[in-house]
Parts: sequence; structure tokens; C-alpha cells
Amino acid sequence: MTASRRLLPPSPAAPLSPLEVEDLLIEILLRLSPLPSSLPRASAVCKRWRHLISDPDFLVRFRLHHRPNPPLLGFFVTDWMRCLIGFLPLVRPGVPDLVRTNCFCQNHQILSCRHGLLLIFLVKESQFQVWDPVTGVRHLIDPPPAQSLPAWVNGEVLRDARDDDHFKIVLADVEGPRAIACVYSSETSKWGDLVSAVLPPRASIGGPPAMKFSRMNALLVEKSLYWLLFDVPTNFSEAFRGVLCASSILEFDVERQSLSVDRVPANLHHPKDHEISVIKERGVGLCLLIV
Amino acid sequence: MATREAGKKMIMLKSPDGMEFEVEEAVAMESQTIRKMIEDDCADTAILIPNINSKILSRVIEYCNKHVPTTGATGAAASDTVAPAALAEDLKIWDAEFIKVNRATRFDLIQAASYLNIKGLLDLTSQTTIDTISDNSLEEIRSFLSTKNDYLPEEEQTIRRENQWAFQ
Repeated sequence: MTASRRLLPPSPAAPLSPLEVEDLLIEILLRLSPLPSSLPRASAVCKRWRHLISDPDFLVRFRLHHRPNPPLLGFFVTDWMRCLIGFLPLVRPGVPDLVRTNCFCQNHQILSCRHGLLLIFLVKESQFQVWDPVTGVRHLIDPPPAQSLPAWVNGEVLRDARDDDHFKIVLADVEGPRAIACVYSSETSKWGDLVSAVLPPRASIGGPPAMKFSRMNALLVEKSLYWLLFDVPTNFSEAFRGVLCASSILEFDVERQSLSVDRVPANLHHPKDHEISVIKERGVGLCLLIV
Repeated sequence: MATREAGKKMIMLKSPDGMEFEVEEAVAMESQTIRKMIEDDCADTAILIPNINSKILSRVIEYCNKHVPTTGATGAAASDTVAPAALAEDLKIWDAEFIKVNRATRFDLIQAASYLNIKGLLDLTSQTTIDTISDNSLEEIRSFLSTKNDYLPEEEQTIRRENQWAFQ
């Protein structure tokens, strides 16, 4: 058999170094550290680097490249005594002044921190604020229409999976025998319809469901958010017997906007004084951690 | 010169300096550029890879050989029997050894990875380049990458002032 011989499309004439080929230099610069200080520093190397790094398309690619493993810059903490929210940096330098010097007013609650965004509930105004601490951009969002918000809201913020410029807010709550959720999209500037799921009967003593959210924030795995729910006692006798032990996991699929509740296996129901968390495990999905 | 060995389809890759490398089709298809060629036409051919010399091409093939998803006798993926985390850790150690090359070779590998569209190799080579300079001062970065500082002193001062926090 005679082999036919083909040429690949000709590659550009061999350059001296990939640093002189724009596409290759971009590939290299995309892998700069995701710390906020890294791009300002690199742009001071030379005019060409600054030009490439300032390109909006590059910035979108840079964010998407680092999204799977974002750096932990520090912690936001609420100082209840002084009624302000402060930032405890873990890296220096690397955090712009905007983040460090920000203060908030009384009655501001941090609800969620994800994808470089902070979701704050302004209790007095009954509004949500989404803040990008690195760019300083803030969005004020009214609550869903005709929806009275409880004093403590379970809210989560996340950037849109396909469009980094947009974000979503997911509110979740327990209302009697059902869990409810509602999504705000910055792309449409609107809240979607309320979705709900029926809660399972109480595991230990039967009867109609009565649940509350655990103190932990929701966990985002792929396209779904997961919260941990607990059965709560409905009268003094139940409280005395300590029935606050059966747990369920509430799942909200952000893409399909569907809500579901699953009981954790009965042998994982835990005594009242133990801590239980849902954690993300690479290659597995969800794990329950009981301490 | 496509042949079949033990049921595996082979592809011949040729470098411009006349060296020939017979590789499994699956290995060659780690390159998206070659994959597209194979999928668009028939695979019974030898493929000339312009601008990638035999030294670099052999390293690229070595990388692809290591990273091609392996299958056992039953056709089940090897990852069914070995924990994916252990495999990933193994590859990471192998990659770290593989990329212990001088700067010129690494730059050649970046170009080859980009031209042949091998994402993992482009990730490895580009990331290693950035990692070698990440903790250095601006002057060291310029010197290491032979990049000329074309800012006027006052222009550089302005850039530093704009984001003072990043240079502390």
C-alpha cells in the first residue's frame, strides 16, 4: 500500500520566542496568578503586556481560566459591636484598597460570598446589595414582588455560568410544609417565578413537616445549590425529648430552576450536640461531614 | 504508513528534519489539530508536521503517550480500577519531571502545543513559564524573558501609583 502524505496547514514562520507571538503570549499571561495584584504588576512590565492585559476579551478569558480554582483572599466578618463589616485579608499585597477600607451601616447582613461577589441584605431598606469588592461596583435589588422577607433570609449569589458579567441571586426559605425558592437574574433585572417542593414528614416522630435551615451557607456543586435542613420540634414536649436531629438536603438546580428535598440516610441522623455539614468532594459530589 | 498492531491503528508522523514516528492513532489524536485531520479524511496516511523538529516532536509524543486515556483488556477505562485521584497525582508528578527542561526547549514546546492544539501540554508549559517569574521583581521578569522596558520613567511611576496596593 502506498501511503499518501499530507501536510498540516503551514504554521507561521518559526519565531524567536513565544513571547513575540501575540496568541502565545496571551496563553502565557492567562496563567498569571489570580491574585488581584498580578495583572496591575504585569501591565507594568512593558507597553505590549499592558495593551494585551487591558483588553476586555483577555479579562473575560482570565476570569474564566481561574474560575475553577479562585484564590482565597480573606474573610468578610461582621463586627456586631461596631455595626460594620470588615475584611480580614489572608494575602498581602494582593487585595485592593477598595476591599480593605469598606464599611457598612447597621443592619447589614452578609448573606453569601461567591465568584468574587458579596450578597448583602439591607434589613432596614429591605433590599439586596450585590457588591464586587475588587471593582467596587454595587447593584441594589428590590426583593421579589409580593414576597414578604423573613428577618433572616437565606440568599446566595453566583455568577452566570456562561456570561461572567451577569449574576444570579437565589433566595430559599421554608414556608410551612414546603420549601420555596426564587431567582433574580441581573441579565433581565427581574425575579423569576416562585418554585416550591414539598418537605418530607418528620422522620423521628412522623407528623407534618417542620424544618429550618442550618446555619451553613449553601454549597454550589456544578449547577445546583445545596442547603442542609433540620427537623424542628413543634411543641415543648418534642423540644424536651430532643428531636432536632433528622436532616434533609435541599437541592436547587439553578439552570432548570427546580427544587427538591431528600432525607439523608437514617443512620446519619445525629445527636443534637453534633455538627453536620455538607461538603464538596472532587470526583464524588456531595459528602456529609459529621463532627 | 498506517499499520495495525494488536488491533491498534497506527499513524506515521514526520518531522521536517526527516524523522518518522509511528504512533497509535489515539495518541496522535491527543492533538486536536491532528484529530480534526483524521476525522475529516481517512487516517491511512503519514502526516508531516512542519516547523516542529524531531527533538521536540518526540517530546510531544512522549507527553501524549502518557496522557492518552488508557483502556484495559475488557475495554474498561483504567480509571475504573485505579482511583482517579491517584492517577491524577501520578500524572502531576510525571508532568513535573517532564517539564524540567531549559527555557529554549520549553518555548519550543509551547509553540508545538499551541500549533498541534494540545491543551494539557499548553497548560503545563505556559504555567511553568509564568510560575518561574511570578515571585520576581519587574526588573527580574524583564531580564528573564528578555522583554524591554519601553516605559518612560514617569509613565512607569504613574502605573505604579494607580495601583499602589499591588506593588507594596
